[in-house]
Amino acid sequence: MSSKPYIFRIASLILCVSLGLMLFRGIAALPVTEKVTGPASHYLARTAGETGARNVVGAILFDYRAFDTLGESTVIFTAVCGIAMLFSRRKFHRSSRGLSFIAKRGIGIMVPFLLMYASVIILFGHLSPGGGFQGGTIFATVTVLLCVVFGSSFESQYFPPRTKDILESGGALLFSGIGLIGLAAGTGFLSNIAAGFPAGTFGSFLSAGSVPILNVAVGMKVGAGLSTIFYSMIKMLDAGHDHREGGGIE
Amino acid sequence: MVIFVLSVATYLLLAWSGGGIDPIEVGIAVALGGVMAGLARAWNPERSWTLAGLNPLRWITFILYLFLPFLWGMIKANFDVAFRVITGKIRPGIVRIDSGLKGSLAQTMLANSITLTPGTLTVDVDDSGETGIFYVHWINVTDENPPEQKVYGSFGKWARRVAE
Repeated sequence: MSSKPYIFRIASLILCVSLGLMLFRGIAALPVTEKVTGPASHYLARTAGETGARNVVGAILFDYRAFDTLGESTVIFTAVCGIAMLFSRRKFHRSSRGLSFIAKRGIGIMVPFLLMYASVIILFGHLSPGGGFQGGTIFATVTVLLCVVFGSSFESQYFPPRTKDILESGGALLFSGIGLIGLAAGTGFLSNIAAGFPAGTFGSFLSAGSVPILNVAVGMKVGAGLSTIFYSMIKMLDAGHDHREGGGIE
Repeated sequence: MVIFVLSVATYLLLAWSGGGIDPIEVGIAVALGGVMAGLARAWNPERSWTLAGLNPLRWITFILYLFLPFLWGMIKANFDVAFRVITGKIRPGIVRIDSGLKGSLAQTMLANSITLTPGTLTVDVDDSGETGIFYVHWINVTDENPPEQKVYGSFGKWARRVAE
């Protein structure tokens, strides 16, 4: 009985070691330079002047490569659509009553801080590390925590799936709308300063043109999308434990 | 109201980057704090709009508790558990303790203190009665019906002082 897993273990060990060797050799092959070269030097030199954003990574994500970011957030949208379609047949049967009041009280203390933290990460995406993707994930974490601690019916009561749908679609619309403003100004889809967005003073909160707005849009999409994915899956798990059919609690 | 003040303070602390704070950031902080307070109100309509939770005396007591008895208890428990791990002198079991605490915040604080201390772990709580009854997993059960002092020292007294 134990011979087969033994072989599997040896095989996976060999696989891991060879993969690690490959990655290690790849890192060793990277050129070691003292100076920044190539496109990186271009971005580092010009980001402040061209976009007004202090966070260069954020500027690349939401200005130079904003169209790519639109595609990335569409990936999440597609995943949410697929999962929602797959699990839409299962009606919600029952949810746990949650954990003890100690966990509930602790979460009650934590949630405002988590929400504020997520807001700061999204709103300061153009100034400090962070942005819509990261902050949106923290928002989704809050809904996951509420699901676990209070039970999923509590979560769906206070954050209805419909609200999440509206938030997610609103984020997508906001993103595309900002892009269309650039198109209307005649400077191209998702253009930032060139389309007339004010650059503001470098380093202050109101700067970098459309970058903060796009951050908020992506934060809405990612937060609502991830929490919809989690909710759809937990709904299926809850339904899977219940053998009765059709006796749902709405 | 407590949530509003704490949210605004959190936001300003996170937004503060060494220099001054823009007036617009204060505006955003107040707006977001208002949203938080509204959400808390929607979740729990019985919340009162008082500032009682911001009583500075309680906060100072809480910080004192964290750095004096709690820290000392942690250090003692760490050495105790390390000693038990090396020598193997353990007698694990679950004991039932009447905490004598009424408020849910005080019970939360005590339960978390017990769990954070190595060697003891709050497994379950029974709040159906007047006071919370804890079921604590204890690494070395010396007394099957122990007084609270023996399991978690002075934590209960401090929890009553801070949060009740």
